[in-house]
Amino acid sequence: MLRFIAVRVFRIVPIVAGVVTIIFLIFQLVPGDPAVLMAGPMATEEQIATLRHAIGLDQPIYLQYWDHLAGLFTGNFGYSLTYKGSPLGEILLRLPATLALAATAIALTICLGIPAGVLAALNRDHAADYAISFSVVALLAMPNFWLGLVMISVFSVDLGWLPSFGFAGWRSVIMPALALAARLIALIARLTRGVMIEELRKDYVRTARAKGLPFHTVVVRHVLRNVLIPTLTVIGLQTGYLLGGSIVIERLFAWPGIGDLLINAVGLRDYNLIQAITVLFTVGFLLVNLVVDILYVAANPRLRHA
Amino acid sequence: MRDLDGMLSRRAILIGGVAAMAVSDLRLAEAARADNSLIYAHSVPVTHLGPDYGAFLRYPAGYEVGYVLFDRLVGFDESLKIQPQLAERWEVASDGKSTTFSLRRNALFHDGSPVNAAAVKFNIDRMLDPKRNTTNQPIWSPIAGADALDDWTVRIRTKEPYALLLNTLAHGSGAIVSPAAIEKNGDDSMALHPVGAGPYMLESFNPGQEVVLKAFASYWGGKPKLDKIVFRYVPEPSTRIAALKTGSVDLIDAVPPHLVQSIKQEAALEVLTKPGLRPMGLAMLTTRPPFDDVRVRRALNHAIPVATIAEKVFFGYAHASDSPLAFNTSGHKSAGSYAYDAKRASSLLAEAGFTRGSDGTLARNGQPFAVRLLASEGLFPGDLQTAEIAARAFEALGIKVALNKIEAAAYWDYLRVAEASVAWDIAIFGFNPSNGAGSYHLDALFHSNPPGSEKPAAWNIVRYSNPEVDRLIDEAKTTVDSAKYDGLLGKAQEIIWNDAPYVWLQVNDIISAARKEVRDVRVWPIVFTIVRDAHF
Amino acid sequence: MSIAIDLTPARAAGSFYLRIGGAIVGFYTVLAVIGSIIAPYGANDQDLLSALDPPSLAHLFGTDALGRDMLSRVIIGTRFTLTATLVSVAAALIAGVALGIAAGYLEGRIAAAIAGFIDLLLTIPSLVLVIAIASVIGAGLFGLILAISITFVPPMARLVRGRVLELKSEDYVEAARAIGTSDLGIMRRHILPNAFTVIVVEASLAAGQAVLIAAALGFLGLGVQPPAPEWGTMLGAGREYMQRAPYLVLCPGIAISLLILGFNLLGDGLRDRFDPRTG
Repeated sequence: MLRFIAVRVFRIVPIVAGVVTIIFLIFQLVPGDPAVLMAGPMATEEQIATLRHAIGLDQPIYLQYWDHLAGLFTGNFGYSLTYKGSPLGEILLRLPATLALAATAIALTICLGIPAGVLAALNRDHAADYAISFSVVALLAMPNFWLGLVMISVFSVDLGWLPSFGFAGWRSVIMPALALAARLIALIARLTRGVMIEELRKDYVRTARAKGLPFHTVVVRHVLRNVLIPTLTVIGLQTGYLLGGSIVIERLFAWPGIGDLLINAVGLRDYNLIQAITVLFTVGFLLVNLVVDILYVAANPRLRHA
Repeated sequence: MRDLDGMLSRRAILIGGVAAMAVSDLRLAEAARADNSLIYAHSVPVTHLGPDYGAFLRYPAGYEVGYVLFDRLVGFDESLKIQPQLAERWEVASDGKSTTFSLRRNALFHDGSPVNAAAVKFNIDRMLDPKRNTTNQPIWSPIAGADALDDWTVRIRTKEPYALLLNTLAHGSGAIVSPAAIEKNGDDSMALHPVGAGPYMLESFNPGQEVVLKAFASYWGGKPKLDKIVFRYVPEPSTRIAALKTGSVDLIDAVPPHLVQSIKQEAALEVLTKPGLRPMGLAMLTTRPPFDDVRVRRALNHAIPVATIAEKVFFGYAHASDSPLAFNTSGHKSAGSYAYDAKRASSLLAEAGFTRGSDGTLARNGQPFAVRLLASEGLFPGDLQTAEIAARAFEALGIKVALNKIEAAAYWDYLRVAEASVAWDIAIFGFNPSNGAGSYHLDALFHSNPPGSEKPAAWNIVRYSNPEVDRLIDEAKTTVDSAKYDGLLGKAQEIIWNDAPYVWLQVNDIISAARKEVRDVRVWPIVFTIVRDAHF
Repeated sequence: MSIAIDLTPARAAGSFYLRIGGAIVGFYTVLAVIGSIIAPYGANDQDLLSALDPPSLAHLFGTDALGRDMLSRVIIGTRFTLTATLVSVAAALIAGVALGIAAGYLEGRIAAAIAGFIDLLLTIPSLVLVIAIASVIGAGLFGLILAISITFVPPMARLVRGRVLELKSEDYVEAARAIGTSDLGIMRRHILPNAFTVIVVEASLAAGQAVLIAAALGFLGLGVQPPAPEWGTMLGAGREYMQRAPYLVLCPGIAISLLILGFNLLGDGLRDRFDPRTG
């Protein structure tokens, strides 16, 4: 197992390097002279030159690339125009907010999505199944920011139950996490329902029933476990969606996380910061995938040599 | 199956752990409020705090923090009258060319060093350096220098008699910062680590997000009434209002007029309004055809229903301009009006040589009349909407309009650029004379730029140039007699109004709102909501 | 390490989904074509005197802050969203299919390099990639289309590559190769038609995603320039008036959701019809 983990961890290094390279290339396409653009119209030639030097734009491209790559691996995210230096401090300050939002969204997905799917599968073709399937279809079609707006309108403005913005106590996380998780809850409910129905058809269920075990015992002891492995794996793999979705949701709820920082950076044309956050999101996604991958194989020893 | 159990519980621990870690790091706004702190949610992010290097550019938020963080030789009250601050008293020399200030002896900077004559001289010299003081040059350039006469007496010399010296010193850029801190941390350290002598000192600064100030116990005026003031950037107006209603913030600015009613309905809230000093307008680049023709500029002035905009878009919290200056700016004179009259606009354009083609578009010498209209979103009240109305109105005349919306935070960067790289023909803009003075306003916007300069010296982004106006402004700047000052400015306003380098729009009221338990918040007509004296 | 999420509805629902989805997408397509003819007002016709009027007979969806008719803006906005969606999906389709077939069918270093490149792009979360590209290119229809299509190329390519790899080992393809059919010929005659169903299903689901992304970019203010009646932008502008005029948020939101619903149902239904393996 250790060997397997080592191989997987080792394999991710070139992937990270490759992705960082691609993102670096995308940001080379910024039109015009980035230093002039970033320094703004108030800047003197001298200030532009200073900035160009600070960012390293006066160096040949391969050296810039090397600095960029080395910078990421040493945790120095390059020169941010907004922070007059490395934005690492700001990113670390904002990371907990994004993590809290994503963690709450995952928790909501597990707590709502899986039970809904199980319920639908157990009541297949009955009212509960139809109601849940209908909700799934509806939720998958609603943009999360629209859902968030409707929630703000109802729960904050009309009813005054929940704070509508910011990062202040556990109550403030409910609406953004729910808006963010909605799509995932729907996907997971649908997936759980499908897997569960497959699973209920399998021989071991029939055998267990034939042995006289009550239905709910079979479900709880055997079926659920087999349903949970793929379901939880998929939830892990959907972190990419969560990270992307959090950008819009953080903006909507003024949630002081990384996604909000990204949109601020876009507004201020702080390209190095945009680039750093793009890399951060991607690497974060890769790492979560790695962990899920390892856990998945750990749970299915047969796959280890596949 | 065992393996799976292990995996699940490890996963649960992982997720739980991450959440717990995150929650322990929360900056809990509600907890902070218990300890006599005020939270002000404002609409513009603060990115720099120093008075130098054009640092208060992100208007008005930087100034609002600066007015709490820093003291000045003299200060404004809420009707922009001058009050003593670090200077206890002052005396103007008989020739009008110098003023001698006596400093109070018990004022300290936040780093503990004394605010003495040497420190004041250091600051004045700094702001006279055009490289450090980029945006506010026009109000500083009449000053010749400063001398420390003794430890507690400073004389400030002006090149000519300068009626607005005190307004400059009370202005945001008149902030007195600690020379010791600059010595220690470097010339540009004020941007992120400001050290002033105001009633509150910096606790933490997260650029673009939040500024936290705490009471400065050794303040010369006694310990301030609040323990903390938090300035938090909340870009969305509806979010700000919802936060005010739920009590998670105490004070908000930039209330959109259409939402005033919803605040008035709440017994716990109070709306604070004041007529503003910022006339909005559409700047036209007067050096570029066809806007070099005054008839074209006047035509566009007749094309927009400004009174209807004031009534319908701003719900009466705005009034159509009658001068390049706002109604309450010093020296304001009503200079006329451009009636909303599309026919008159069309005939003026025809006089200027434009004819309407079969498809309805205007053209002159085969060249279609096409303009790029630059608009900010959320920088000025109703800016994008006004621009959309203007675009539609111009299109109705047969002009092709390409609307270009720019993020509020980046908008300034498009306005004040070298003439060759101006990427617009018309741009929405409003100038706020942050010292309340009409001569400053006209000087900054309408005085000819120095010959050969690429960027506007101040904010003459339309490249307006009229020698008569230059003369009137120059003379007003050195005129101390107020009737004569008003006369000079009045003449200048009439000329500028008729030359129409802008499509004159409306002057908005400034609308802030607070919870009723918050007292002594001052709304200044120059768009600032000042919390210097605020308390519960 | 890829686990496709099984979105398959109950089999009986499949053809129902297909019909409903097809009807919705068809409805929007008709609106996009004749929208500007049937809309009661122009998308940018302003009437300041009736600004923020609630829904009435004269304005079924009410008016916005400039007195523009929301119904007309929503209807006319259809063309914009549908164009952006279809063009970006089509562009992604062409590039993705070409790359996918090349990576799947060709052998050796080039194929490996293409496959590696696709996998790398796939690791960037799509909305993050869209925002990064949009920030570099700038706001506007072109930037929007480019950003969305670049984002959709990698998943499309990966899917096609997988299908091609499967097909390649089929007997009839091997037989074709044995009788000396050229690579291009095999791709055209055997691989493409057989991968077609997968591609159509994926394209339909991608279209739903494209609508969502376009709306999200508009909402964030990175989409198009005003006064273009783009739904996400309208939603973003309307949120300020949410208390006074909730219909400004509801109407474009429903328009977006319904179109996404249509594409999703269409994709699900198509998958169910074409792909019996996942029944």
